[in-house]
Amino acid sequence: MQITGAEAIIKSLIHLGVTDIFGYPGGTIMPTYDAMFHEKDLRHILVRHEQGAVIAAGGYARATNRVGVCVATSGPGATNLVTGIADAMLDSVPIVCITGQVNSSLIGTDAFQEADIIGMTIPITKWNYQICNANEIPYIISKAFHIARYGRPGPVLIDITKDAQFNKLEFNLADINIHQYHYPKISEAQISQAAHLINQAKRPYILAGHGIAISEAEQELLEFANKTGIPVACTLHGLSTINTNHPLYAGMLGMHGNYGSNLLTNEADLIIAIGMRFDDRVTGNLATYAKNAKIIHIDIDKAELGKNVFAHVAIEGDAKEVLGELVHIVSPNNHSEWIKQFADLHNLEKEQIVDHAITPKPNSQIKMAEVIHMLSQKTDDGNSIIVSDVGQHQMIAARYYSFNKAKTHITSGGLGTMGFALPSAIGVKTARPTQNVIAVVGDGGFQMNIQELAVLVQDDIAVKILILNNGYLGMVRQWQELFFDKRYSFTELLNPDFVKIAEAYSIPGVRVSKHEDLSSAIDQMLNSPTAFLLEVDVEKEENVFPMVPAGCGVGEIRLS
Amino acid sequence: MNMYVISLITQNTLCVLQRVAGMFSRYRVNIEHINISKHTDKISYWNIVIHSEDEKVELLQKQLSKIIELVDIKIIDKVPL
Ligand SMILES: Cc1ncc(C[n+]2csc(CCOP(=O)(O)OP(=O)(O)O)c2C)c(N)n1
Ligand SMILES: [Mg+2]
Repeated sequence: MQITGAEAIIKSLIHLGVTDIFGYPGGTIMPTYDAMFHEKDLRHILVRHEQGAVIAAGGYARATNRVGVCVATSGPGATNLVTGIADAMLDSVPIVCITGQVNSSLIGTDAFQEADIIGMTIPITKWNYQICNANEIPYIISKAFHIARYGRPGPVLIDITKDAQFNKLEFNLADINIHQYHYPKISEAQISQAAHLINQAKRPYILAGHGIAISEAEQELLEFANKTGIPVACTLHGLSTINTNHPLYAGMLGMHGNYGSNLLTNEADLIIAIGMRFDDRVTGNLATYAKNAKIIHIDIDKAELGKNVFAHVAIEGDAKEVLGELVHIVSPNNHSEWIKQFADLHNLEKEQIVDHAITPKPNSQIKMAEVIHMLSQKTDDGNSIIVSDVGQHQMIAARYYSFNKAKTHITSGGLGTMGFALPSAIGVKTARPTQNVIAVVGDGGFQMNIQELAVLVQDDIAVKILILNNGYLGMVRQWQELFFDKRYSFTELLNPDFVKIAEAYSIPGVRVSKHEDLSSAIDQMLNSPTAFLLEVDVEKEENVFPMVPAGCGVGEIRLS
Repeated sequence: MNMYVISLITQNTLCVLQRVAGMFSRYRVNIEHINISKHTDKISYWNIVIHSEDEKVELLQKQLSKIIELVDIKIIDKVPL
């Protein structure tokens, strides 16, 4: 059957199982938009800025582990994708970005809206490719999907010239390979060595990362932890891979993680790191990190093994498979003394920080933690997904929300992309329409992709927006307070009336500044059948603690 | 500091030089010498000489292995400087 390249793009996507794409049209991608016009099997969501499209595609992928797809035109459309692609690269998110490109005869002539997006995105994609010949479309698109998803996932960009979209090709479904994923064979010797170390250890410690969620190994993690009695700490992206109320849950790792989970890293005699990459935000100063521990490092990406921290046993493999094998050969155990150390420090943190943060005090402003804690209590059925932006509110959401179901915490961890929450939540809600999707944002970050409010209305996407408004770029202000003698250099924000802005988009909203109004406002937000914006005025100069100051070791974590 | 000779086999495609060279510059490793020749229409053979340290070269080798067009990579020589 002879069809155009543009039709082949759409047919290939549908054949690969794509049901939703996010995009923004323009000159060089118009043939593809034309081919979409009558297509009933593909829902296209029109964003208001290409950064919104790529981050939404990422949100879709993060919520489902399916490949998220976005489309943009050449030149400025393509360059607007760059931040979202880098975000997906650092957080191992499978997305495929399709960009239009000028006619192949014009490439290299500085033609209108020509940009070398291939050259620009080589370092931030897992793979990219330019198609000038329509015949390549079905095969290359299926290859893009395969590469995005297999092994350690990541972004792929396919740049397609306008003539390749117009030209005819002989379209054959057989050219679209739906690849099977083959993972490296797990080394038996390494597995038994790991089991030996685990069985011998007195103070073993599991560090659960994003890889658990990506390989859908939550159940295997639970069985492994239950059988061995080993405490489990989560990285920021590991959150929600284990119920935070589980007795073995030890807390969040990292700069603003929990007190005990950071401090006791240096007491552990064995660390079992699963699908995590010892990021600097997790380890602090490496020179003093986990010096008493042997390290078992499990990761699908060989390049991560031993990259930052030496691994005594390095296992290249998929977390689900590795844990599935390990669980059979480790001995049942419990480590009650060791667990008690965590409990003691947990109580210390609770007394010194948590209780103050979540308990309203008369004549004081609302604290971020109080809002998140209340939200958490009201949504404890596990049917809500928290999508946070970047800043203090992000750390507070991670610290004070109780995650009790898998894939209910989504955030920009690696790149720390402000403006992430709203478009990402759009992608998440598109993929998970029956779940309550709540974007937790700061007053700063919300204004970085505020234009996507329009999408909530035009495409009827009932994302709930919770703005924690402190009138500052709070996280930067905190650093200025602590490390730059309170010189608040350009971090105070004069903000618009966010509720009025929502109203202009026909999105209902309320603003709250008193403790007594908070509960009913959260109910109103949660019960709204449509999108809703809740703005909470919070304490302006609150700091997030505990904190491992930059350059310090996890042992130097500060409670104040 | 050592001198390393790295040999690569890659697919012979557009951009593959940029992908490989970009990896070296990202790790701030200067390429002292490079030789690439087409072996068949599909495959190229490379020799690259760099000055670096074991740890960095090991990481570079793993990162280069992730380039989709890369077929094989070997460190074929190491000489202390
Ligand atoms: C695109 C981008 N620019 C700058 C930063 C640096 N940055 C990190 S947190 C932050 C402040 C965020 O302020 P706000 O959104 O109000 O959240 P808050 O910390 O006040 O909760 C800034 C500027 C960033 N992470 N991303
Ligand atoms: Mg703020």
